[in-house]
Amino acid sequence: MTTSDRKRSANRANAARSTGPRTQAGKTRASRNALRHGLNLPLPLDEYGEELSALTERLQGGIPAKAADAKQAAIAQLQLERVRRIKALVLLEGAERAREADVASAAGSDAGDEISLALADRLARLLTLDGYERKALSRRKKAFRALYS
Amino acid sequence: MADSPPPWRLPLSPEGYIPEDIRKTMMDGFLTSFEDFEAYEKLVLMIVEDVQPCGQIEWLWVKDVTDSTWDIFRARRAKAACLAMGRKDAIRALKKAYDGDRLTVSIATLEEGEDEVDDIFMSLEPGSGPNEYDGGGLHSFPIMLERFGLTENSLQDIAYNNNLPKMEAFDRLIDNATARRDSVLREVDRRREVGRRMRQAVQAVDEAIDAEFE
Repeated sequence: MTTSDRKRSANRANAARSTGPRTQAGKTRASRNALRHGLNLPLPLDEYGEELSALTERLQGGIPAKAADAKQAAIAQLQLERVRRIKALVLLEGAERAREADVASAAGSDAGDEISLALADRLARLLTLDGYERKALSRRKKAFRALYS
Repeated sequence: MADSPPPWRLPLSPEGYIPEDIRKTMMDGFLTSFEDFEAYEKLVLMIVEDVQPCGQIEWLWVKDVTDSTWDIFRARRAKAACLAMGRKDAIRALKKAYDGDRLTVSIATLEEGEDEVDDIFMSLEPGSGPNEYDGGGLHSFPIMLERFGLTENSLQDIAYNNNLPKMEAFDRLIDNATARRDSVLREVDRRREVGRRMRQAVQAVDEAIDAEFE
């Protein structure tokens, strides 16, 4: 038996033993393994139902034929607002940490305010969130165009 | 936790009011409690006055343009603060190298050194009077620069070089926000005259921001 054959059968044996979580709680937990912020998922309608209905109504402007387009535009708008709120939270966390650590005064007045420090500290996360904001804006643009047409 | 934001006092639109839902959207979740609500209000007012939005979609566009402009301002200010710290680090490193060169370094001079770094840094910042900070380090600083073949402008180059990945990330943040704003403005252009007015409003704000960083 070659090494690769041995490896292959060991892999198969291990895979057969590992069948993932068995309890419902475990399965639910595992289903969220790849979830970090859920920004790629559809808007949770149970959470946003009321806001969604109100915004849809306003965008629809009383024209029944526009109901579906208005709903798509409202969903896209709420997704956009969700990304912006997360960005603000990232900054807020960073600013609070900077304030607790008193980084600004330790570094001198030239270090800038807490938000500048938070921004410098969280550039990678903010750039990632920028990508989501761009996608949300693009979805909304399409929805607005449909609404206007 | 920072203080909670002051109540929203703004703005009266040309129609006489900002729709309540828009007012809520404007303030909800975008600004942090560490930021200047009054300055944000001022920015909204500038854009609203020029644009005179009508209808839900136009108000949402105003919000987009305001927030992207605020994002640009935030990133430019953070970049400027980061560069200022970089310039100060450069002065510190230069001084350390110069003191080491002269073999006069001791605990006492290191402690005094930090004050001198502050003095030199402050004297070089825009708006500082020539004799405002008159520590001993000020007199030796030109000699230090000369010793290493540098000029005052070199400090900014060193700061930029030492923070290159961050500078690049700041620039990307600024570019992203500018692209978002341009995309909204193009969309508005497709619609009506409001696009032209929004561009004018944004240009006035950009000129004010540019003036602050020049």
